[in-house]
Amino acid sequence: MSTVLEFFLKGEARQVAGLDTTLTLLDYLRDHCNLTGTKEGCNEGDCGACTVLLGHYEPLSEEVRYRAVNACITLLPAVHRHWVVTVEDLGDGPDNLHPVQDAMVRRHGSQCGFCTPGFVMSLAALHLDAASPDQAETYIAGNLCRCTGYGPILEAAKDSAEAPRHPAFTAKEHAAAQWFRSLSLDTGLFYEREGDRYDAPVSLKALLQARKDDPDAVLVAGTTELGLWVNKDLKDYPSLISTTRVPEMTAVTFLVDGTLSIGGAATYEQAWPLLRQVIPEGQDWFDRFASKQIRQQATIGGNVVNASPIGDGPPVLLALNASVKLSSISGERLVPLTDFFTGYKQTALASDEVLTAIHIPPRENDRQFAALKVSKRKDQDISAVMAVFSWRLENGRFRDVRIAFGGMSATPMVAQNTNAALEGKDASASAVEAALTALSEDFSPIDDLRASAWYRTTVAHNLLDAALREAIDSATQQHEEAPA
Amino acid sequence: MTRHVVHKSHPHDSGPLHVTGAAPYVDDLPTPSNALHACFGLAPVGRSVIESLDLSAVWAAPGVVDVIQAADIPGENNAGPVVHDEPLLAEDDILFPGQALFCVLAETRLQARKAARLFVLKARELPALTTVDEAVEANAFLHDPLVFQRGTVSTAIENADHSMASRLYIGGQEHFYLEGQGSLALPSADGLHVISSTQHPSEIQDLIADALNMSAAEVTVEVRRMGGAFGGKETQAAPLSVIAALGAQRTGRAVRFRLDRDDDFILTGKRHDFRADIRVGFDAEGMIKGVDGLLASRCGYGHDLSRAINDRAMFHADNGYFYPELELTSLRTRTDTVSNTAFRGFGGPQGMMLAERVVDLVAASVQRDPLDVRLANLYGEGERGVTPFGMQVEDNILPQLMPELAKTSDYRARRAAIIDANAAAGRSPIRRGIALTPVRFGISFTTSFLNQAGALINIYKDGSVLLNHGGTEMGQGLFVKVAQVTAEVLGVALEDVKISSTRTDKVPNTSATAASSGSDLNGWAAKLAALKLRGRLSEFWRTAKGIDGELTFANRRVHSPDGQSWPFAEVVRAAYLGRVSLSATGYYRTPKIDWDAATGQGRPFLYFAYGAAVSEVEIDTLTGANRVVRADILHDVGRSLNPDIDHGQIEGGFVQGMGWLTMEELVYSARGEVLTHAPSTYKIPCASDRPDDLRINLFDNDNTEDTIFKSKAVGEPPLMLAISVHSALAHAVSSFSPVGRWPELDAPATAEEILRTIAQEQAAAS
Repeated sequence: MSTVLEFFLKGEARQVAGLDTTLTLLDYLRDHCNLTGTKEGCNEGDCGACTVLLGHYEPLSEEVRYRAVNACITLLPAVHRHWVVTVEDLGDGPDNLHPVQDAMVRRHGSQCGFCTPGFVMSLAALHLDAASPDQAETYIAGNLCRCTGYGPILEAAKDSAEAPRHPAFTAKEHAAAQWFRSLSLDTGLFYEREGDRYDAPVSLKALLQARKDDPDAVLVAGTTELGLWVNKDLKDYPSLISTTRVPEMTAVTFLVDGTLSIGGAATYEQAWPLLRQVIPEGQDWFDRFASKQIRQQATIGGNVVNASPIGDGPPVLLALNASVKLSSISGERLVPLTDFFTGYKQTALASDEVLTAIHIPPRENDRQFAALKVSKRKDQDISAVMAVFSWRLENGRFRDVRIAFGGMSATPMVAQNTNAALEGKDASASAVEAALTALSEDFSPIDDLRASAWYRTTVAHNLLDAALREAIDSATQQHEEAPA
Repeated sequence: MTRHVVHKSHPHDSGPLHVTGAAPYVDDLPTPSNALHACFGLAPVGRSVIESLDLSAVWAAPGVVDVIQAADIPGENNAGPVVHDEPLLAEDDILFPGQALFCVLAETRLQARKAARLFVLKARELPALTTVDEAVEANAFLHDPLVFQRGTVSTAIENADHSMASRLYIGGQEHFYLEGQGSLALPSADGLHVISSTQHPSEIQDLIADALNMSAAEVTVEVRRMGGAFGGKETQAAPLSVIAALGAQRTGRAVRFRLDRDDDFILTGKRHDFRADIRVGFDAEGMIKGVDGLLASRCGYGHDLSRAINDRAMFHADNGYFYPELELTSLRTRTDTVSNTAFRGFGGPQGMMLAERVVDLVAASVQRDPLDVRLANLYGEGERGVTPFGMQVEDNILPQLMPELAKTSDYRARRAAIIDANAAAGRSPIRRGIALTPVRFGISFTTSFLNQAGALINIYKDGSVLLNHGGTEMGQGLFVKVAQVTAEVLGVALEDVKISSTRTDKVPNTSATAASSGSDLNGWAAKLAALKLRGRLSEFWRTAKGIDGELTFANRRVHSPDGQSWPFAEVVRAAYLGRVSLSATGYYRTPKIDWDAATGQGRPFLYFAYGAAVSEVEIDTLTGANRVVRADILHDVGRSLNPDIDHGQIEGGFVQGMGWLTMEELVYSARGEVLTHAPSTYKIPCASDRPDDLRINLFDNDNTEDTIFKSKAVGEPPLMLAISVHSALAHAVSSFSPVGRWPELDAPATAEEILRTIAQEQAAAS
């Protein structure tokens, strides 16, 4: 077990000890390394000015893979055994620019220039992924620019898409790969400073033991939420346990019975390739979940255990009839997600338990599904209402109806009365009426700074009304098309 | 005349530094290792009387070196630029929620931030006025109303064929410059050197001198670049710069002061929110006969620049339209909220919103295409060319510009198709809308004495040129433009002109870089300095070489009329040896302007900048979600100094204006706290909000006034092109309205506001 942080930065291996356990990567870069190219815009992961890339090594393909993250809400211990790529690394200075940087200059992609390093890093991620420039909006959805109106930045993405990698970057990547290969086996991290600790075990058993031994410790994965408490509430965290180094925790697999099992510390981006197979209709929901930087850090498990009423993940999982696997050193149990949320930010998780997996049962062939997000801004916004509609139509009747909402009550919640009102009913106008009446019994949302109760209620009704009518239309059509 | 450097596109001078992270902003500068970090303690209550403020825990916190309160300020406790009513730190009262009570200096920024929360405040909270409506009701005003009057409006409206009335709420806007407010104060034996992220170094210099009982000559304020400003660093950079300076004076150590984003939202002013009340009389053709308008704004607790901002709202309450008879009244309400401030457009956008609502109302009522009503009511010649404040409009190009845009954007056919599609929408939740709106924006500071600028140009013996002027760079491309002017006049290459930071010890007594005036004022000042130097070099060289006639300077060479030429650097070197001064200042003041605030009459502007936009939008009537499908812009920048830079200002201004009018919503608590104080809750446009199809063109013309190389200002005017988006959204909503009615869609037209307005129109129709 390592008690020292090891990572690769500025072309060299670094070993760090003795710094705060909650020091953010951004503050480390700026205040300790004088790498001031990475900027602080909001210090809460919403503006992307601090975007850096974290490189890790894929032993099978022998490649370095990158993910863009917000350095402001990434704790330094989380970069253990990573290559931290900053804007200074891409090319070889202002006179020898990386293709992305060069395109940004030529297209006037910078005006005030403050957001620019963050954009450059997000576009560099696109370039390294060899993704289509059509994806540029997705790659930069987590970067805010107040000057340009974004057009020149999108043009720069197009211009640089086909360009070869910069030789200076390739040389650094080569050095980083050598460093990765020189690392000994990961036996976990136990990082301490003046009694504060950051414990990142690599075995599930060690994780569960640590959880039992220190019930007051806070479990962390992507720290996209905890980062805010550190930066904004200035909270101290004497004991943190990271779940992300345990392979089982990040595994995403189909079990033999077809159940999709998503490890408790799998990020949204890690989970999506398989989750998409279950809900291809969820692409828009996925793309609009926070930003790429956040999706590459934030875990679905974290979205569930923090039990926020406005998380976008839980309503989808509720509608998919998901269960959560809660494990402790003395055993494990599977709890239906409907029973997991017990109140505002309250859950059934015991103090010695860890959410180790989310189980999504196989989807029936005839199940219809839609996840509709309503927010002030299309991308990277928190929902006013998250509506998820899911049912089967069997001989023109609604079956196994699972409608769930976020933003409508103190917890993410299934619409019990609505579900009951539709269950077994003929797909007809009267069913719609009954469902809409029942919906009013299910929820009495609140006014807040995102939306009024009136708006939430109206939108929920409008969306359900439209979804049901569409389902009825298609059922009628099918019925008419069916051979007599 | 052939131009070599101006009228051509050059990238931003700092572009390569921006993209590599090598362009330093205030907080990136290396500082002495013993530098202290500052943090304000913010009032957790609204308007209150302070009963006690216990700072013992703050003093005792780890790393704390000093705690500054109002009584510790040796000079004046003031950040107010015009009226001295905005204390740097609270005295006996708390004037708005979040006001700075004290400032901690500590060894690390985290220590300062933690310590700043450890105070114990006992305060008696008083009833607070927090909205325009409450303040109007309570007759709470910062100063007297401004009224523009012509004819007898009530009679004009009564006698008109038709009349309409409407009320419009226009929300404020947070600047959300990506670089928050920041300052660094460095003490030295010679005085103080303060590096600040500010649009107005001279004012900060004065405020520091006043607060610290120093002379202005002992204080140097410097700014190399800002990470965006948009008006938000005109006056709002002052408090932390002054307090950082005081901290440096008290401790003898450098002080770094950077606001956390949430504190920045809470402490600094925003665009004024307004209520506009409208009555308009018009004839059956839609010709306006009289407009009775009220513009009431929320100024907050202090004056700041509110007088001039509200004046400008009045100057633009007609936008491009002639109101034969009118009464326009401006109320400047005092509320117990943060003091609102300059923001790109400076009140003009809110005034224009009134004007565009007027024409939309008229067009709906007479059932004509709003574009025809707009064209019919544009300013004309003679009597029809006189503004409400008595200025003759001499440069009106809207009668040419708007039809040109209507044609290139295919406005008429698209509007017809949209109306048909909406009528045939059936159960589809999608409705579309389209609008073409103009912009006519007055250029000059309306506070006339501010229309002056200075520049300093040094030529060194090797022929290199160092340029300095009073303007500040906030991303708008001012530095490259002024360098282009300098290079053009001296006949050197753009890269020969070295741009340096703005410093009060180089060019004194500058005005804020604001009011879109940066290149107009500083470009001319630099040109005058360069002309002086060119004159000296010419005279010297003609004498030395015995040349008759004018020399020309181009392509790094000095050319005689007979076709001989010499390298610029050779001439410079010779001039030095010939004992010719190679340093010159330039000073410019805007001609012709003359505005009398007392009578409300005069010529506040040298000229107007024009433009127009067509926006097509789509709304989802299930949720109110909306997007701009296409926008076409034709904008007037005169003879552009740098077309690509101007293009960038237009596009960026348009998107920022879209944000203001569609999604950027400031929500306040009942006691006046800003609840949306971070980007998690305050949403500015991101990449996917940009119109799917955005076409921007520059209108081909010269400025008729003698501006710098016949260019026009471009900073603010394009923001108001986005009013077309708001009008188009209202058009989409109006597909639910009864005939002759126009929806009272407020701004921002959030999804919720759109849904609310649809419900209102449906109710009116049933």
